[in-house]
Amino acid sequence: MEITVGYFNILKDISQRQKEVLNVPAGITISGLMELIGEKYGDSMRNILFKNNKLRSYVLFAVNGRLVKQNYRLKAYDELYIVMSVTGG
Amino acid sequence: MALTAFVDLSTKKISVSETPMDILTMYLGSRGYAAKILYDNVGPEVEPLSEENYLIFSTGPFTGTPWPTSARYTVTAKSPLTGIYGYSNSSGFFGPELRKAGFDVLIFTGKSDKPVMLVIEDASISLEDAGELWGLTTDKTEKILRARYEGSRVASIGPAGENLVKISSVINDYGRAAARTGMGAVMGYKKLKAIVVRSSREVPITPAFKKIALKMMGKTGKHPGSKNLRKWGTVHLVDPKNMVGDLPTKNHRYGQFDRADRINARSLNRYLEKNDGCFACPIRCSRFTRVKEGKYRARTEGPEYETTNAFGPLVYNDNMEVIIYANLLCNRYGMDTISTGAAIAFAMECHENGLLSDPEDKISLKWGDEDTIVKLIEKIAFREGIGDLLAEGVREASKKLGKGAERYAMHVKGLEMPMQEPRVTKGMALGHSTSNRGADHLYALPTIDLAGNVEAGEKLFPDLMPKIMEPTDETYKPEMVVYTEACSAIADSLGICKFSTIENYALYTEDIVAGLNELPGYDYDEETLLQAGERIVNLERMYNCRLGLNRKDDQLPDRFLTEKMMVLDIETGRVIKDGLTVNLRYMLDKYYSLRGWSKNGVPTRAKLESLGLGWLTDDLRDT
Repeated sequence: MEITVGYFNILKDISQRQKEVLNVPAGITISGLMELIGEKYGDSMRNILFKNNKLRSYVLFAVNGRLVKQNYRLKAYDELYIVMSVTGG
Repeated sequence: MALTAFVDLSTKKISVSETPMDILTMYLGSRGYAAKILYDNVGPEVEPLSEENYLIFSTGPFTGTPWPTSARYTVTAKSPLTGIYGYSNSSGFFGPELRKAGFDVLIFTGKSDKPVMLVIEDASISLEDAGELWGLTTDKTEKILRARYEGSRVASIGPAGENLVKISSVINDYGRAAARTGMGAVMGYKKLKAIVVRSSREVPITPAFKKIALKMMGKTGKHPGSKNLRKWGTVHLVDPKNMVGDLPTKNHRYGQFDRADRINARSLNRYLEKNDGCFACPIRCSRFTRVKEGKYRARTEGPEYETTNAFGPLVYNDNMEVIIYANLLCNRYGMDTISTGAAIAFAMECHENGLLSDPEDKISLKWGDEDTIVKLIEKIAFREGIGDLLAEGVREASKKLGKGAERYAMHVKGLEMPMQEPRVTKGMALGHSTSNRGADHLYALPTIDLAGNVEAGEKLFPDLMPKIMEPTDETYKPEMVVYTEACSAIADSLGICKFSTIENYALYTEDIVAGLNELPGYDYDEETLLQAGERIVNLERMYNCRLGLNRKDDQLPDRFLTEKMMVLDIETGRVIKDGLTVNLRYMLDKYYSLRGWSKNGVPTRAKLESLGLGWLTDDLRDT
């Protein structure tokens, strides 16, 4: 199925793109997709997304404008943004 | 009925009057209302450390009510650190207690001939001798006063405020600080050691207000951002900030720290005693920590992220115990942890570049030297040796040092830079530069992009998505800062914490309006509430314009404009991006235009009149 993935902040710098359309297996979870994206863009992307093979707590996911958890199952034509939650201080 | 107490410390006369509701509601309360009082009464000719300067403690209409995070109060005066509009803001339980006693505003003027404290017990208000407390640290002062006035809350200064240290704070509830812009020195100059308040009453509210407040309490507590703050505290920011290059290191020379894992939230957890929260707070981000043994033995509330960075990467220290101890010392002496860390980092960079030799008493100024960090805090508090120089803040210290030291003084308008890296957080870069109290992450708190808050972005700036979400892209940062400066003024003026509003957008302006309109005298909709925030920002801007400030003062340190920064993959060292600087000229041009100000950064007559500030137009010096 086809989905759109958007990148912000350092994720955009590593992927070198703001958005891309990906063909992924139907019913894939967000965490499954992150494995694929980590493989696609290599160590730097994987280091941002994972620590000790677990998704980092400050990497968040918004699907169609709403925050979702990593076990969310993506649907065709979903628009997913991967974001780093840094906030102010 | 809201009450204002006017305390003349020279004559010891106290008068209490009803606060004029029409003016109070126009400026919302707390920060906004205090700005109006300061503008009317403390003109350009008034020296910050003088009898004529006002010192204003003010609460907001939500302070002390069941509204979520309604713990905050503001301390306002002309700043001895910056020479311009000054205020700081604190939380805990002191503000709510003041409001429960019936006081919205305390105004101090004059100067006492001997140390005094103000004691409020419900409607009773008096000045009492504080001679025995003078010289004591804030924790000892508070302990004595809480024992003497059982059930009271206390705000006090420590030795730093007494010694007129320009980066001194006011401390309440042992570990809560009204820290920025040197309000402790104003209190010290006036010989006001403490304010004690005890009330047997509650803030009067209607059932309708209570119902909305409780609903908002649930909404705030359940927000994912609140849960994260509750679980990890603000120090959870260390790791992601380090990854994106937003962890100021070595006096802002770099944005990443190679030993961040030693000072992150997991490291702090080794010293965690308990989580806690302020009055009426469902977020409960506070962390009480304890170092049980060794030379940095300490028990304290905090440190927060800003303090952790200021005494960690900024001075190149990776010892968490030193950071906890430094936090404790700053609270005891009554000092701003941001400005103190920045002053030490300034000294270390000056030393590295041959502008400052090691001080006379054998402490080193080498980066990361633990003893130096601790001893410099004490020296600043007591104005001893090099501490006397640093007690003036980095702007004045650099002027006195000369020889080009100004290039290492990280400040805007005389206020030391907080712990964001402007070259990777362009909204913060603009917010620091335009803030009317000097470099400040809280004056605007533009975090929609940093937080990756797509929901807020879609709701507030749908036409600017997704570009506005990119932290290093300047294009739409002026739009964000104009909006968040208004929201920030609203939160401060209502007496609530930004962690319930623009840090994570648990609550939006429509939520606030629903509660505010249940309070007597307030009648707002979303548009007019945002306009009230804009009114406050314009009033504060005019305070500074009347002093001659304009665009030339909305400048960042040259480092951020000319020294190119890179961001590395923290695991492999690979360069992810390079050549980062700030295009401040573009952002200021657009910001002034959106604000309806001149290209020189001064409000126009038309703008002031549209905000009900026509009475300020006689003070305009720029068209």
